[in-house]
Amino acid sequence: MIKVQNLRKVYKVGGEKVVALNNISVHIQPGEFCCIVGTSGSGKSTLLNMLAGLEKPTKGKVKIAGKLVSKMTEKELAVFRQENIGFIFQSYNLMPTLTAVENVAFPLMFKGVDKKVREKKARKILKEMGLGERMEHKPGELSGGQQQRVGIARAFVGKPKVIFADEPTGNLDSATTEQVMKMLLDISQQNNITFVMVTHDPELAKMARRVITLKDGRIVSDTRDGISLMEEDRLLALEDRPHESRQTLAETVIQQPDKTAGDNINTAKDE
Amino acid sequence: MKISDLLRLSFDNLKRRKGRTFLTVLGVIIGTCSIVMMVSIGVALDKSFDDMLQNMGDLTLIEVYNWGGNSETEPLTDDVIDGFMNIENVRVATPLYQPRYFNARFTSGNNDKYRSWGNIRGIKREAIEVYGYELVDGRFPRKNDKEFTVIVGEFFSYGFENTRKKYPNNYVDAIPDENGVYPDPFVDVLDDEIRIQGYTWTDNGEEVLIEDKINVVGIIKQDESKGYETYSGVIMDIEDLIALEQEYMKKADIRDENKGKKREYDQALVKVNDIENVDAVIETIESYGYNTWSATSYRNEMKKQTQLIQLILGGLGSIAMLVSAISIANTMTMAIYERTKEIGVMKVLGCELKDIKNMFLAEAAAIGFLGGITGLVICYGLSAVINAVGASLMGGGETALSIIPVWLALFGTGFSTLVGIVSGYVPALRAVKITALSAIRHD
Repeated sequence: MIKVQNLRKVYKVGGEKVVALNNISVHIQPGEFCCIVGTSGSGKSTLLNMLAGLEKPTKGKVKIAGKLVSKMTEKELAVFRQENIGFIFQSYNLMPTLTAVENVAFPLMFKGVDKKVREKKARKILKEMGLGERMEHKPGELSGGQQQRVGIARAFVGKPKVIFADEPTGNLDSATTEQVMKMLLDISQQNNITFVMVTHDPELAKMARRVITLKDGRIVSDTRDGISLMEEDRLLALEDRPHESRQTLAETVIQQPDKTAGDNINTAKDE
Repeated sequence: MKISDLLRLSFDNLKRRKGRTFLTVLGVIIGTCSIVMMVSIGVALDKSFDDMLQNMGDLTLIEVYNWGGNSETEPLTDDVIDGFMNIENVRVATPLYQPRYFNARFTSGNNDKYRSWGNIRGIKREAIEVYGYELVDGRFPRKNDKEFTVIVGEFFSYGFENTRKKYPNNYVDAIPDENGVYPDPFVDVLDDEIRIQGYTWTDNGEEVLIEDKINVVGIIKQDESKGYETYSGVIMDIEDLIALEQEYMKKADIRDENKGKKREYDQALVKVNDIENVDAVIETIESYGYNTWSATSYRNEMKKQTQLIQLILGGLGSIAMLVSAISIANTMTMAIYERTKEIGVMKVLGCELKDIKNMFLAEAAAIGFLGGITGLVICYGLSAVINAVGASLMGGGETALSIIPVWLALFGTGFSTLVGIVSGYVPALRAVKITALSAIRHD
């Protein structure tokens, strides 16, 4: 679903070059739930921005659903986002003047969906998320957790192929975080949506099958179900080999998945 | 994105910042008011000029003079005047004849008890009705009326003197009493027998040479533009008048210098069907070599002047509008600055660039439109107040100081909306340039 090849991003800060990402290659499968984890400054947000087309890479390619996102114009991106992408923000970013229902229906508005139709869809999804009572409230009248659920509903309402989430639980307390995280896992699995989220919290990342750990703009580990995807495997992945064959390969190579996963996360924590 | 959604978003955003929106709209209101009021004064000025001209002279009437042409110009004869009838848009052309030798008076009652020295004018009978006289009483002469069927000026009847009475009781003055009712004159010109007499002075005193009965069928309203005869004169068929004068001259032994020649007139009148065509007709007649006079020539000159005045007034009004345009631009720039993050979010959610641009343009247009409409309502109020005050100061005159015609109302709102859009354009382009990344960056 998402293919990243030799991605490089260089910022110029006060005349000095800062390499934010260097030679990143990743392949995320359709329906996969993927966490990009790393400390601040590791480049994880930059990577997400580039995957979602919010920033242009200095070098390399990003392909989503076979489309070269990194080369799209703003106009093409807008239409592509309408059809294929949902986005969840750390600070919810709901429209303050709109009610919960209107906020959820907002992306459909850009597509030109009729008000009745889009709000019906929004109501349905809000009800599913347990916000049936708060539908006509404005964001200011909702708690953080409720706001983020509205934000999540907004990302899912258009049934996109991919959803990007930038620290979706970053502003929430731990109890709500867990709730929201479960919700994200459930809905994306039910709808077979590829989900890519960024977090600084390795514990949270553990909940995802796929975990990509970044440090200083490089991938230091990339695991699926706690199993490290070996270099060869990642190369195979780039050649578009079916998912199963690589998994089998990974399983045959590493026999103790739980331990490896723990190691990886520990490494991430230490960094 | 649907237009209804776009407009709703824009209005929501305007509502969000009520105070600021109000102040910006207030600026547009002042701008609209200043332009509309200034132009309305110009329009009123224009109209009062037109009214004045209407009083001064019939705008569709052209007077043609025999003099002033060069030697090759044909004198104004019947043929020439009939020729004017063939010019496009001319309704009627007639000579205007004033007797030169005919010493005439009008009498009524036994032994010519009542006498009057009214003016006599001769014009073609068929021209009388077309010419535009306004009847106060009676009717216009008709084709089959007998000889000496005439119409008289509004106050002709008050011109009769009772020769049996002494000053000041020998005249009835045409002055209305406090109820606006005129006193009855000595003679009822429509019913009493009126005679026309040609007289002369001899050693034995006054001698009546000819006498004929005249048949007064109508009284016309006084109209300065059509001459003194509408006040107290007699208007009769030109052929009748000339025949009378000829007869008189024969009796009085006055030699006719023009005998045997074609009759020449000093003046002719040409009535045009519409004000708009007057200039063209004047041009044609002047190309034949005649001099003309028409209230329209004044009108054109005055129009030019009032247009200039309107332009200056409108220009003054525009200054306030310019200031309000700057304030709209400022408000929009501020709004976009504040909403940088929202715009970023909208882009991330897939809002197209043209929709973002249109959303802000709609906001700016709404500010302009609201200001325009409100300003217009205020203008109508102001206009009424000014006119009321003006009327009381000028003694209840009917000339308005400020007139807001429909076109001005439409122009006022249209223009203020346009000002909104134009001043919102650059800020809207700025909004388009905001990157999707600002959705995340602004945390």
